[in-house]
Formats: sequence, C-alpha cells, structure tokens
Amino acid sequence: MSKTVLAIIYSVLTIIVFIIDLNTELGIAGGILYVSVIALCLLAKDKHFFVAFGLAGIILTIAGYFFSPGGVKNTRCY
Amino acid sequence: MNRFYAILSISVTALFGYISSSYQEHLEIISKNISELVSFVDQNQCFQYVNESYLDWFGISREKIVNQPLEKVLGQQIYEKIKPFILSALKGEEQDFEIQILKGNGKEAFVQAKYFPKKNWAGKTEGFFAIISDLTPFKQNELLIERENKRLETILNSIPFQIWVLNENGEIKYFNTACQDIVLQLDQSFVGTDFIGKNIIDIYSDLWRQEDIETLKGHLKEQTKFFSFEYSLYFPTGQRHFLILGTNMALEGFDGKFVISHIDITQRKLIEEKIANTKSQLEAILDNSPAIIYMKDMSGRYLMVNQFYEEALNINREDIIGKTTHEVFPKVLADQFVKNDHRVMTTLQPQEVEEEIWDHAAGKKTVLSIQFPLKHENGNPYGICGISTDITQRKRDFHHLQKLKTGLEGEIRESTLELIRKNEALTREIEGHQITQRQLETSEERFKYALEVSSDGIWDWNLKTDEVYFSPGWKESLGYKPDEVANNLDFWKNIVHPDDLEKVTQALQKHLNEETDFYICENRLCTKSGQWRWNLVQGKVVEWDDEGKPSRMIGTDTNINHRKEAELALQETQKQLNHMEKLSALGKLTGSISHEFNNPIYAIRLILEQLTEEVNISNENRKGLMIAINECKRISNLIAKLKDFYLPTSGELKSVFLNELIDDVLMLLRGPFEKKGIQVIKNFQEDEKPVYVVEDQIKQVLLNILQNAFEAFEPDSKKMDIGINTSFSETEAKVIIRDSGSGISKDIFETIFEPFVTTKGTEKGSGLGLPVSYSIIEDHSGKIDVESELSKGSCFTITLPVEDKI
Repeated sequence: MSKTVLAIIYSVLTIIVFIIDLNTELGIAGGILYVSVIALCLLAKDKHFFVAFGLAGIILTIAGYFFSPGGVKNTRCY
Repeated sequence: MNRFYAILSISVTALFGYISSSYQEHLEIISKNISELVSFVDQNQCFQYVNESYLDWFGISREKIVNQPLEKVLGQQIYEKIKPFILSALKGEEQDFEIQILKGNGKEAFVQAKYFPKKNWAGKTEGFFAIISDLTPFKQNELLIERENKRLETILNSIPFQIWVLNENGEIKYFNTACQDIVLQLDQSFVGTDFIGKNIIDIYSDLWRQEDIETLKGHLKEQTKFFSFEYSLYFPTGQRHFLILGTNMALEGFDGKFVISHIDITQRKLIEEKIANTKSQLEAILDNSPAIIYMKDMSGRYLMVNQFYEEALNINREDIIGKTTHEVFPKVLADQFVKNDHRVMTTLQPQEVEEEIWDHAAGKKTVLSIQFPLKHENGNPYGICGISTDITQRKRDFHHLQKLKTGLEGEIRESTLELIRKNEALTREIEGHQITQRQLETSEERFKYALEVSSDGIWDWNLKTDEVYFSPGWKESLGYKPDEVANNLDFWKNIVHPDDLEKVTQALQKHLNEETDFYICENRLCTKSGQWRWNLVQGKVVEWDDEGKPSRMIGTDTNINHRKEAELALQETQKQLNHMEKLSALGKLTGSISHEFNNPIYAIRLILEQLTEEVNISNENRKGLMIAINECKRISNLIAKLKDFYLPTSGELKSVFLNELIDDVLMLLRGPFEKKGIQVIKNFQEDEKPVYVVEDQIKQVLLNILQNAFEAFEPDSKKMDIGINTSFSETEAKVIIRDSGSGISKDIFETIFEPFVTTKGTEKGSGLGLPVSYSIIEDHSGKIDVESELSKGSCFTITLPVEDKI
C-alpha cells in the first residue's frame, strides 16, 4: 500500500477521532485515541508520519479541549 | 488533566515511532547498500527478508523470494549443501562457513556465509539472519597469484644459473633447481637436503676458496647493494668450471634480503682461451711470414706491422705504430704509398700494385703489394691491410726470360707453320674417309630398305657351330617374335616341310661340294600359325676354313607363296583348257559324224517311205514302217540340231521365239533325260513375243542350265522334275528353269558365275558354263538370276528384252 493511501487513511482516522473527541464531554480523554493512529503509522515505515500525525494529535487534543461540550466555557465559568 | 496525559501519550508514542522508524530506515539503507547478501530466514526455513544485493546477486525479484522456502529459491543442490548449517542456526547456533555454489547464470561462485540466530523475548529462536559474502573475485585472485607463482617458479627453475635468496644473515630463503643441481654435483653429502634455512657460507665453505668466502662474507656484512666476482670450481669429474657470482638487494616483499646469482661462464672462458690461442697463432704466422704485412687505420696510421716488415725496412715496430706514412718514410716514398692506400680506401676493393721501397743495406727494392680493405661485420671499413712480397729478383729473372721467350717464339712460329701444313693434309684425308663413310652408310641404308621392301629374310649359317643368325625380317615374315626363334640349325630343320627336307639337303650338299655356284632351292616352311609357306632359298658359301672346307654361308629366304599359288592355278587352268580342247574336238567329230549318219539315214527313210507305198503290206507292218520313218526323221532332226549346236557361232542377231528355242534344246537332251527318268514340265505362255538374239548363243545358255539341272539329280533321287516356264510382258521375256536336284551349297553360291568354279570336278565340268552363259545374257542386255537351296533344288531365271525394246 502506498504512503499516500496510508496518509489519507490516517488523516480520515484522525478526523474521526477528532469528531469523537468533539462529541465527548470533557473528563473523558477522547484524545487518547490518537495514540492508535500513531501506532498505525508503524505500518508506513516513515518517521515523518510520526511527526506529522503526532503533532496533529497534540493540536487536535488541545483543540478538543476548547470545542468539546462543557469545555473552556465551563472552565471560564469557574 | 486527562488531556495532558493524552498529549503525553501521543508525544511518547510519536517519539518512539519516530526513533524506531529512523533505526529501521538506517538499517534498510545499510542493508540496501552493502555488498554482502543479507537475509532473514524464519523457523519454517522461508525467507522473510532479503536485501537488494541479494536480489541482484541471484537475479530474481523480491516476490519470488519472500515467504518462499529456501529449498525452492536456492535449488535442491545448494540447499542440501547448506542444510546442516541451516538446521544448526535454527537451533540457535551461529554458523560461519565457506561454500562453492553454482549461480543462476551457471557460473561458479565462492561464498562465505554467516548465520546469526534471532531469539524472541522467551529465548526461543525465531529464525536467523544470513550474511553472505561473495568471495569469488578473491578466490580468482588467489588462483591467479598461485598460477603466477608457479610460472615464476618454472622460469626460475629453468634458468641455467643458480639463484639464491638470502636474508641479511646469509640464511637461504629460496633457491632454484640449478642451485640444487650444482651443489649436489659438487658435494654428494647434500643429497636430498633442503637448503631453506641453511647458511650459504656453510654450503660453500668446503667448495670455495677461502678468499672467495671471505669476499662474500664481507659483502653480506656490509650489505653491498651490488657486487660480483668470478671464481672457479673443480667438479668431481676433474673438470674445472668458471662461475661469476652477482648479488642484488632483493626487492621489498621478499623474505630474503639478497638475491645471489651464479652464472656458469666456463664456455665463455674456454672461448676466450681459444681466442687468445688463435690470436697468438695469428701473430706467430704474421711474424714468421716472409712477406711484409702491415695494417693501417682509415687515417693512414699504422696499426700493426710484422717482424719481416721491421727487418726489410730496418725499422722498429715501436717507431712506426701509431704514426702516419709521411712521419715514417721520405716524402717520395710516402706519396707513393699514400696514393695507393687512398685508392683502396675509396674503392674498397682489393688491388695489386708494384711499389718501390728503400732498403738501407740493399738499396732500392721492388715489392708486389696486395692491398685490401678491412671491414667490420656491418661492412664499414676501418682500415687497410697490405701484404708485400719482394720481387726484385723475380723482376730480374723476368727480363732474362723475356729475351729467351723472343728466341723461342721464332722457333715456335716455324714449327707452327709446319704443323698447319700437316694438319691440312690430315684434314683432307679425314674428309675423304668421311665421304667414304657416308657412302657406306647410304649403301647400308639402301640395302636395309631393299630388304624391307622385298620382304626377304636373311640367314647367316656358321657351319662349324651350326649357329644360324636369322634376321628380324626373316622371323617376322614367318610370324615369329625375335625371342621365339632359336638361332640354330635344328630350329630351321623343325620348320621345314618333311617332304621338302630331302630335296633341300641334296641341293645344299651339292653347293657345299662346290657342284653348284649357288644354293638355290624352293621349300616350304611352317609359319607360327601352322601354315606352310613357300620360300625361294638362295645362298652362297662366303668363308672357308684353313682346310678349304666351307665355314660360313649366307643367304636369303624369299616368300614365293603367291607365285606358287599362281603356278597351281595355272596348272589347273591348263587342265581345264585341255578338257575344253577335248570337248571342242568332240564337237568337230560330232559334226563330221552327223554328216556321215545323215546320208544313210536319209536313204533308209526314202526306202521306208517307198515301202509304205507298197499295197501288199499288212496294216501292222505299215504301222511299223511309219514308226521307223518317224524315228528316222527324229534322228535327222537330232543330227541337224547337233550340227547346228557345234557349229561356231555366227554372231548374227535375229528374231527368235523362245518357246521354240527351248523345244530344240530339249530335243537334244531328251535321250539322257528319259534314260535318267527326269520329267520335264513345260509351262509356256502361248502368246509369245520374239526376242532379238543370237540364236545359237541363247541355245548354249539354255543347254548349259539344263545340263546343270540334269547333273544336279542324284541317281537315287525319288523325284526328278525340271520345270520350264516362259512368260512375256511388253518389255521383257522371262524363262524360269527350276529343278528339284541337289541345289548349290552356300560356299560357292556367290561365285558360281566366276570362271572355273565347279562342283563336278574337272572330269565332268570345266567351270566355264555358267560364266559364259552370264556373259552371253549380259551381252544381250538381259540378266540371269539364281535361287538355290541345298538338297531342294535351284531356280534359274533368264530375262531378255523383247524385240520391240531392243
């Protein structure tokens, strides 16, 4: 399987994880699912995959913190 | 907080994956670029990984290797070889081995394989890594080096001089075969000894002179780079050998430090000795020669003079060598010498000149000099050599001889004139002899040709020895080859006809008794083919012995076969002529008798006719009288016909009817025909046409043919018929006479119209009947044809033109 196809699959999986995270309330660590995507990057045998999807996971986890139900608003309430 | 842990997890995982992936990438780069073949084989003996070199080396794609069993990929043969190592590696033991295999392209390859087992966390072997190095180029290089070493070894061993390689202590590190050979020849104690590690000084200590050993020791000690010296050895055979020893520092990489070579220069030494001997001999020849010998270079400087030169010119060798001619001799003489030398140097050809020299003791001398150029092997001149002989005395003698010669020449001239005169006389005499010789040859040639033409054979009989020379012509005429005839009298006696032998002997005896001048005789000799040949023998006694008895007789044999045959034919003809003469006389007699018969018969007939007129005759008697009268008439007719027949031919042509003519002839033959019982069957064409012929000649033809038919019947023949047919056309008249007699044999059928051919013998036939008949018919422009078959009869056809057509 070519790296392009893998990149698309991983991107789709990352988006799915992000959507799940967005639909999960804070307190439930939905971002942990990005680890599985990164783990799948082993199949690509390319170190750049780890950098790219690792950074994407971190950013989207932080983004999920703000956009998840009961996120920053509640925090702000406090 | 949860998100923090999530981010941490993500970071750790990504970092771990990044590091892991980097390592994997490095490993892949390494495995891809190293020349060794790297692979991983699992417990099932299937390839799990192979690097690019592996694929390139085997020349197959990755898909055909990965997950494929080793046995399938490598082939049964290679797999069987490496199977023990594979099994050991799968048991967790490292393997290291070398193996020779056949690659996919069929080339042989040497490889070194190392197997490293891989164990999992539990310590169980999952498979092994295989790292294979292709040693083929190294192996090939090793083989190449080995081959080069062998070649070098062969070369060194084939060199005829010794080569030793020593270290700085003089220990031998290498030696060639020549070393072994010469040392073993010199000292038998070294038999089978390997010199490696021994000191060269120890080996040569007993063989060399001490001073030579010391020299070598010194050079080794000082480590002189190049040195050489000559030395000699006495072989056990007593032969002295000269050798030259040379050393050189060995090149780097050799075990030894010095290379010592000994070259046997015995041959060179011997040649040098020979050259020295030759040189001294040459010098001895030159010095002891009674001729003046000198050598000069191209600039005219003396290189050598011999001892006689010194004595003749009263000058020392040392005073002349290296000096020019002008420095040694007065100008007048020097100019003469230089001029002659110059001519030789320019022409480079030898020359012979007379020169004058000055001897202080004897005065002026004349020498004859032979000068020639001296050349190098390449043809370039480097000097001249002169050999001069003192001819002063010879010159004086020459002048004296000149005077004597003049006197002698006058005497010789007179003698020569006398000789010329005698020679002319002799020449004339020789010419006379030559003319005689030519005449003799011509005469012999003429005699030879005459003999050849005459077909005579010559014989030469030695009466003393009975040897007989028969000429080739004699032998050839009798059909014998030259070697088939014995040259003696017995041979001749054997081939003479027995009936002639007595006659010949008598004739010969008469001649030998000198009763006849020549021996002439006719006899028959037997030819090789067994036929008898008539010869006319003519001979004469030509030599007699001391007692007067004949000793040699020469003669010729002439073939007279043709003459003899002609004589026999003549005799036969003579017989026939005699017979014809008788017949002719009989004809005349017949004519005369018929006349004599005719008158009485005519009288009888008249009387008989008168008697018939008588009245008192009974009818029976009258009938008898009539028969008698008719018989008389017939006799008269017969006589008349006989008379006509035997009368000479008139030659007068007249018109004749053939049927009537045949009847006349038949009348003549009726008596003999009836007596023999021959029946004549006539078949004449009635409307006949006359022919214009000589009547009696045609009668003769018919009589001849009928007479032949009559005689053709044997007395005991059952059927004796003669058929006579006549037929007439507009142009010709044809008479066919056919008999059923004995016929004509094939032998004589072709010749029956030739004269004197008869089957009846000379008593009955002349052999002229048919030839005469043929001639007569041809004269009448007719023809006779005959057909005959032996024992069945003959048929003669006479064709004559009818009267109108003549």
